[in-house]
Amino acid sequence: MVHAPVLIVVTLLLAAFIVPLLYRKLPVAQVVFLLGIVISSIFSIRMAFLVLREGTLTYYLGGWLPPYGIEVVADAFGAYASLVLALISLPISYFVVFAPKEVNTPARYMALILLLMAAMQGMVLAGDLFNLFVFIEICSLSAIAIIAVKGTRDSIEASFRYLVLSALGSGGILFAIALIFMITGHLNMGYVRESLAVTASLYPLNILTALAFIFVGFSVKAAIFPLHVWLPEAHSNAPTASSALLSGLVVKAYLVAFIRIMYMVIGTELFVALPLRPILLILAACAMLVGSTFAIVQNNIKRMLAYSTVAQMGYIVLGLGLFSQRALEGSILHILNHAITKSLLFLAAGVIIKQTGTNRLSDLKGMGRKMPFTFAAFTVGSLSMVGIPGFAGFVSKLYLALGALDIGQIIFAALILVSSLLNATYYFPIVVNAFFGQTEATHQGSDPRKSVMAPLAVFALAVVFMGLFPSVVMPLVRQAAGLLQP
Amino acid sequence: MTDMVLETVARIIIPFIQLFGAYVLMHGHLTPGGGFSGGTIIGASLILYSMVFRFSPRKHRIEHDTSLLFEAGGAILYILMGLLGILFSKSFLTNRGIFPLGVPGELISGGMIVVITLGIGMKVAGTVITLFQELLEGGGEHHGHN
Amino acid sequence: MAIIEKLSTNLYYLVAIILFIIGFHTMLTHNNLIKKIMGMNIMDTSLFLFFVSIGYRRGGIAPIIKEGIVEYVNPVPSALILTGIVISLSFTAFALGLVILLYKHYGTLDADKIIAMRSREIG
Repeated sequence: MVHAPVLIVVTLLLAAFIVPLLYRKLPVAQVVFLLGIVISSIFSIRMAFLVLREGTLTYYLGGWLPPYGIEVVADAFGAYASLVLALISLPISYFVVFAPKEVNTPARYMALILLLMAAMQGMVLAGDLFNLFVFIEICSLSAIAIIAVKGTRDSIEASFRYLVLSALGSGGILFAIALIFMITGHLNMGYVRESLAVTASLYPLNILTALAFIFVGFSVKAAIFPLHVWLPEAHSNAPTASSALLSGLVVKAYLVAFIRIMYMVIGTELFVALPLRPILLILAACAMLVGSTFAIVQNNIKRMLAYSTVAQMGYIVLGLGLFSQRALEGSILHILNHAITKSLLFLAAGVIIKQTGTNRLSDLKGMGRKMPFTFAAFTVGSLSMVGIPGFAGFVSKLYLALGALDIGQIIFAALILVSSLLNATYYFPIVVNAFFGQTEATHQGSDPRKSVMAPLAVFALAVVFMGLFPSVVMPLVRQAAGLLQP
Repeated sequence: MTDMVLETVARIIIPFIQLFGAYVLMHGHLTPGGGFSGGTIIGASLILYSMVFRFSPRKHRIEHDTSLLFEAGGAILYILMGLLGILFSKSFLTNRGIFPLGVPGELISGGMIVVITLGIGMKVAGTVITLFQELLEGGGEHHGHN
Repeated sequence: MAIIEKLSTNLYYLVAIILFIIGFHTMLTHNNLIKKIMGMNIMDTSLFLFFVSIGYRRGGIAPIIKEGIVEYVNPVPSALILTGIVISLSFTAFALGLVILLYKHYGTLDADKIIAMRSREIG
């Protein structure tokens, strides 16, 4: 039996409970924190290789077989998502340890990050609905906590708003799970699906209501367009590393969980039969246009990046709505590419704010000449966001556009182009002004020391690497997309 | 401010609450109840303790480090019990074949369930008292969030 | 009559839905932050009632096997809801902590006033 699927979560959880005990010995706590993340990532990478070679892995907790026992399912999609989480978390946790402290209680902050990672890993691997729900709740709580831990007025207000909306979303998801349990009598995803094949036609109202609640619940959590209102405040007022985690990973983990429910529980046949896809397409289109438009008018660098996340989530949802093989591949690939790029941008923005003391975009004129490496990293991220060939963002956008053309939806291919142009209108002025604008004497700044720059360099290299050699992850992406096809 | 009636009653009642909590905790695998219920009862007795004696001149208070130890220790105990299964090359949280299962219905039976329940009870009691004290001290401003 | 009969057999579900709507409404429309948290709790409780009543059987007892008893309540929903209660407890405690901090910073528990104070500062 391969223990990797469960050990990924358990390692993180164990570290999460050891770290707060060591708050008086911070260096030891930092070592345990990094060890937890690294070991769990190793398991995750190993699992990805195993899944690629041998197909879906299942794990029965305590040796109890389903439907009675708890099952952990690592299929291609789950393994891919777990891999993304692991790879992105590594540089960010390095940043947490080595960057200047933004929080007063570093041990607890690290414990919360470990808890968040454990919850996200659990969310993408859980094989039954109730454990999925529990992990969603742990994830919500720790995601809110890593915003509030900054302790400023704005961050506490943002996290309270996030908490209220998040609780509404959780309520919706729990209600949907209750409705599904009511007619199937199972919580194990595989058994629910088998049972639904028979019972769905007997109780169509239950299924429709459950689907609606699942959709709304996950829309709140994953910030899908009309329910994204909490995101800009929450992501822009968090500490730097938290912003990177939240924008890069957390919203996507929820989306992954949503997709897993769609194909593992509801079944792709039902998903295609119901009018969900047009809704997803419209919401995605709105998100891409509205998110970008709002981003253009922002003067706060982190808030601009947060609105950009709303737009980029639109891309991922768009691929889901188009539902052709290549669009799904693009969508799944964009989960990774956007995670790398947005983490890079948020870390760079955090470094810029820390070094210059301002978060206003208008104050950054000419700063690129003073801190060339940070702004070079930011530029790489911007190029990827806009979708310039040779950078990560281009590949996934290309797949999405080709996927749209495959099923004759030229309008959505055009939409991707328009949205990319909109991205260019708010990313490029920053870069151009930073390198070629006139320096205002009020703001000083220089590149930080090398240990702080290292995660940025890693992410920047990863963006370029993914732009040039996307084929590295494509086998897994292709398998994952294949799972979603009916 | 001290209140003799309150202090005397609390002094008499707290051991019994804790005994009942321990009973619920230990019989988690036999009767309704278990880790969370028992832990909350014990936690409630600790809340009563710190409410009554907190304001006395002696400043009785469950120390932050102690509650933290209980909180983290309980969870770590749970995870280690689970990892034992992997150590014996079975699956995570395996009970059968590692722990003596005993006769159903007796107090010492059910293998590791008793140990796990104890871990959960420690964790819950620690968490309940930490939450109470931190809320009392102002939303966790001194120690950060929990 | 048919409706009344249907309602009486599904009474728990009906009450759960009513409570859900009350909680939802309180959470979204009230300005007082404490009332928002209360709404959150009412909503959670309604969901617990809904979930537990799925597994409830009239006349059933706790599922501990005894001789001579045939009717047991389905334990799965109850066990799950125990976890749900723990989650709800942590959400409430965390929200209360945030409210205390908000009150320290703004001196009010009124969401509208907090928003007004913020916009005055920005504008």
